[in-house]
Amino acid sequence: MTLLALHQVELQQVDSTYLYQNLNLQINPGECHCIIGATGCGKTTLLQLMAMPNQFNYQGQISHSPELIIGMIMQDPHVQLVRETIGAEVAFGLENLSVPAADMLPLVEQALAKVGLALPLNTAVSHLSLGQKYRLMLAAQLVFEPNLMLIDEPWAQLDNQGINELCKVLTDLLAAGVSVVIVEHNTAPFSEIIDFQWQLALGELLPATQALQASDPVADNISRHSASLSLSDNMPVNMTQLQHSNDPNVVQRNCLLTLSNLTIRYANQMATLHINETVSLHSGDIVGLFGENGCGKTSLLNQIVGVSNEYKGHISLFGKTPKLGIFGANLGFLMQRPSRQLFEMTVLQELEFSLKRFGLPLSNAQEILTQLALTPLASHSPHKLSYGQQHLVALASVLCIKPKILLLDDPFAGLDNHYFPLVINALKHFSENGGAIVFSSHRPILSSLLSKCWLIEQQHLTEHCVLKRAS
Amino acid sequence: MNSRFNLHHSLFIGFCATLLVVIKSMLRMKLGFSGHSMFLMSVFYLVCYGATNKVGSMTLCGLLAGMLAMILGVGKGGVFILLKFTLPAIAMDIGLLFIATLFSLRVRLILLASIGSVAWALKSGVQDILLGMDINIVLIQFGINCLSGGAFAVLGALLVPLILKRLDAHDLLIKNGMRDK
Amino acid sequence: MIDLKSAKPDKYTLTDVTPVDNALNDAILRSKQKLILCSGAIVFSIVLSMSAFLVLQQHLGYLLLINICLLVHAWLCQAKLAPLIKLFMLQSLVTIGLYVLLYGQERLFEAVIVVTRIILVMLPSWWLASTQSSHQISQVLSLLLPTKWAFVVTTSIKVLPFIGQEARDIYHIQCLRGARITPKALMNPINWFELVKCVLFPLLIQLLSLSKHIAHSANQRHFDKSSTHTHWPLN
Repeated sequence: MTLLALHQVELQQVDSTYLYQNLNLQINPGECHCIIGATGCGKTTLLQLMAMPNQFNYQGQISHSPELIIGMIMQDPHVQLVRETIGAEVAFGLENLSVPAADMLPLVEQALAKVGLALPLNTAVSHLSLGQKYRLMLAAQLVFEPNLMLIDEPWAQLDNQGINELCKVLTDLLAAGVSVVIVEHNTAPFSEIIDFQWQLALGELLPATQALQASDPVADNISRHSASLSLSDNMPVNMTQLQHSNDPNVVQRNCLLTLSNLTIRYANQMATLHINETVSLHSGDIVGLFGENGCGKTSLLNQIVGVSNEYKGHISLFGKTPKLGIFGANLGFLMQRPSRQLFEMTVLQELEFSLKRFGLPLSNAQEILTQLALTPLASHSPHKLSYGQQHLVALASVLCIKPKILLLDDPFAGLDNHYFPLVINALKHFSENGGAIVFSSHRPILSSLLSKCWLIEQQHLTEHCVLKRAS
Repeated sequence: MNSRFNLHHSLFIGFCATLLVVIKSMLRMKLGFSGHSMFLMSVFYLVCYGATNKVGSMTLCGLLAGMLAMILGVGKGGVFILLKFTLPAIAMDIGLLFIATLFSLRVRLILLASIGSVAWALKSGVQDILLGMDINIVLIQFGINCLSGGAFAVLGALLVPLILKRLDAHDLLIKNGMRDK
Repeated sequence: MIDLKSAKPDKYTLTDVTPVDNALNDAILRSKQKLILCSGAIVFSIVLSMSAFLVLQQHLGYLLLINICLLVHAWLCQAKLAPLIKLFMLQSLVTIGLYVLLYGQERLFEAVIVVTRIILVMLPSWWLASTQSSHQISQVLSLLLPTKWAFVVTTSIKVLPFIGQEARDIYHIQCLRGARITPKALMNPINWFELVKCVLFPLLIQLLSLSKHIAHSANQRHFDKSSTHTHWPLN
């Protein structure tokens, strides 16, 4: 029996170009399909088309089996969690189906048990880790007892522990006969559960082959996906405690940032981040700030740039205590989801904004645009670009002021293999010209590029040097 | 009125109201002079009107903002904060019924903002009279409120076309399904 | 389309509802009690505020007494008194000042009465907001409102911290990009346009997409399917 089938499906976009041209897919019970493809090729839209075909104006055939019940998980957890406690969250769907209140409890408990969330029903959603939230979203779908789950890019937002938990739940679901479709650009963590792998390219679904994987331009020299669970790639193995005294280079170069005896206390929370030793950043350094979701990476960066002031201890940036706005063009900072900082009419104006405010030469903008291969987009509206392009524009707008320190909060989230190397090259170029970079990520990546890394484990940040792999 | 706004529009109006309340609570202590809340109200109400292009959106935004402010305990006036947010919005919507197709967008928005600020000042005035305040003092305060509130509201209304033009230029209203075409 | 089959009653009556969950029943009972208590508090505060308008001058003392009790109660609940006192000072300064300006000393008593009434209008609401959680109040309100608007209100409260954070983040990042929107720069109204352009505008874009996505995911969970909705018993 086929649950869902796409037959020669075509879909036109607003600008009347074809997003899909000849889409064929057949999903049977208990199968796990994985669809890969570049950002902007329509992966997410494909899931929505499968779930709600009558909201689209498509050609071809999409047939749903009469038994089909679809559950769908989109990318962003905080747009999908609508209630304050986990019980109410799972029950939201039941409320909408007018299930009497008395009958909700067992159904909700069953759904939570399926995803391994054995917590009191009135646990606040805000207290959950991201991985737990993800499983809560799954439970909120499982309460409808779906036989097909559609999942949109779980890897990018979950840390390794979250992915492991998710895989466990998905394995159970598949064993119970539920079909799963995952849209993802890194398939390695799911390789054990995937039955069929597809590549969405030029509007068609093609069986993904090994050849496609090997042609990946990034995979060779930079371990972007070092989260692949192979041990040899696991960063901590390659790291040793940094020996300050034995490294002559460190002494010669300019020290830009030092953090010593620092304790960060987030608002209203007990959890703190400690730095017991003195860690420092010198010009030309590229430092990776790694730790699991919610360990305080963003908070630390916020303290450094002076956006918040919730620490005890000593932070010295360019020899001053950080305060918002005193570093001017010396400091570049890119927050998470950088696309939200865009507001100008064109890409070029977006870059020129900071240059004008800081009184820097406007020619910097063209230079950076050329370097990032963005020149063709210079006169486009930044709001009409794809996510990856917006990300790059935001980065360019920070790079073009040529700061001495560049702080990047999770800069590679949601970037696909097309934009990733561009960003890496820009960062390399920046550091070769004496700029210092700190970037954060929820898993250790780019070990070949780093001069050292700051690891956050059990609320303590420690500095490690990275042994470059022999190549 | 319920069926005319789909869930997406309703949520957008709700979030505009939330943002209004959030910003108001952030500014509360910093700006002492009265009337600055009229600036925020006119900006957000008119953005709601501009984005959804429907009569009633401003009233809804006002009602929701009032309810949120009441729930969160933002601003002075307590239960009457509901009226403080809602009355200008209702007045603006009633005004809109008469001038919906007249004038250019900019003039229309300025007119609506002035109507709103008069209603806002009127509400405080009526409340003061009910409390037994002297009529002369009520009139003086009404005059001050009208002028300062009106100035802020018109300033807000002048910014709204710029925002709407930008949202429209980037197709953001269409892309996000706020406009049908 | 997504099937509503799981809504068929026969499917969930099969699961056995074991009565061992006494703790759970207790919790349900307690949340009901809290809800009733909170609705009572809302009605009480509205009545008190109203009576500040209506009560005769000679009975104003009793009202004052009740309000002082509320003040003490709120104070015991660790409410912050400072904003209230500040408001009180500002209000009395303006009103009494105007009276003195127009009439001199003779109608000072009248002015004090008016100020007292104004304070008595505000105090019960302050008490309500500082002793009842916003979650409880929104629960009560959502029982009164149509389902869709109840959802809008509860969701707005849920995303309020997110929107606040988003506003702060965008403000900070634009400050770091050199925008003229520091508190000092904003003293000049010309820079307000910069604030609107580079903070409010991106924020509105965020709100547009946030509302689209939440509406989408709510509808995906059948929010728009039926006109009648039930309520989760635990709060």
